[in-house]
Amino acid sequence: MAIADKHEIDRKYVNKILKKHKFRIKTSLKMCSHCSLCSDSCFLYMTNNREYNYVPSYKFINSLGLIYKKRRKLTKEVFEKASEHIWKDCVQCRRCYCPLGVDIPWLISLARQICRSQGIFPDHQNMVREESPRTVHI
Amino acid sequence: MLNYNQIYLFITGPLFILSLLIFLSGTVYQIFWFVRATRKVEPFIKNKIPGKKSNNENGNSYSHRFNLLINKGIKTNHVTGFVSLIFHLSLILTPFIIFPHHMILKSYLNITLFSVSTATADILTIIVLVSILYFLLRRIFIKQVKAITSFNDFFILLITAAPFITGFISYHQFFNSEITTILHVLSGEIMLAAIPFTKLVHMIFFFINRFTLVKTENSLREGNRIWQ
Repeated sequence: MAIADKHEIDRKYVNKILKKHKFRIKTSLKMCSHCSLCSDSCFLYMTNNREYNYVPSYKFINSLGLIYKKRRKLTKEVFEKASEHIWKDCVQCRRCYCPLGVDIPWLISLARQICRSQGIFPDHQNMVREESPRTVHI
Repeated sequence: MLNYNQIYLFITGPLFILSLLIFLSGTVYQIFWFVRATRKVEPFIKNKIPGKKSNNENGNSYSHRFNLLINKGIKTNHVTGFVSLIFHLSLILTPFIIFPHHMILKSYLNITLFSVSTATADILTIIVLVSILYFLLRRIFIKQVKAITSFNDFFILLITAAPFITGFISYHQFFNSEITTILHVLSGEIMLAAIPFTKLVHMIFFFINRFTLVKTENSLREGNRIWQ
């Protein structure tokens, strides 16, 4: 993912955003019972051989969850790891459904907002796949 | 050296009240912070279409939304969905309908309640334990669940299973029933106290999310709160 080299991570600004939504982030992370019932509601998961990195809960836990967990020691590596899941593995279609009511698209959208604020954007050229995903009738 | 009666009186008296207070205060704490993190919306922002008579039109009925809750997330996971449903029903029902608990309730508060037979209680307990085993095996062997599993998930499976295992053993007196009874009471109190502070908090927020927030696909009722 493209990370602007000239910019250092502005921890204070990131923590300000996280603090604003602290309760919602904490509650969502805690409420997620890791059941993976959201997996079948993601079309990317269903059309990519059911790879675990497309599971919606995996995406938000390893993006916003990771940023929140490491909020006191934020580095570029944390954002690199997080941005893998929110740009490449999610298209924000809002199809994912959580039986417990966790708003997964909102969490990923917040992670994108935080990444953009630090100059981290999707690297579209390297995201084009060599072969197109096969159509699966669900 | 404390004897069994003194320990039993302590754990079913002050320690039980303490765990109940922790559970209640933890629940109040979570609800308080939820109310602070959300706000009420004005009526015109609410999801009402002009000319629409009620929310029961256009597939917005409660039965439709309940079907959505049950079916959408678990459409291709029939087994997990079914196991989860019977697990939660048995987990919540069992402590309130079994005879040993009612006996204690009668001795402490002189309240008499309807109890199920021993066989029924055993069946419910076995349902809970088999379901927990199913969830445990899913966490170990299924790739997409293993990828998001952490220590906390095993911990809550353990603290949920412990009261049922020890209660079953204690009632049927397979081992020293005094020790297993003490373990049963302690494990139940630990589970109760842990609910608001661990992943078991989904018990509280499952209902809050679905009944108080402004209508989303997750809602079962149109609430009047949105996140700040």
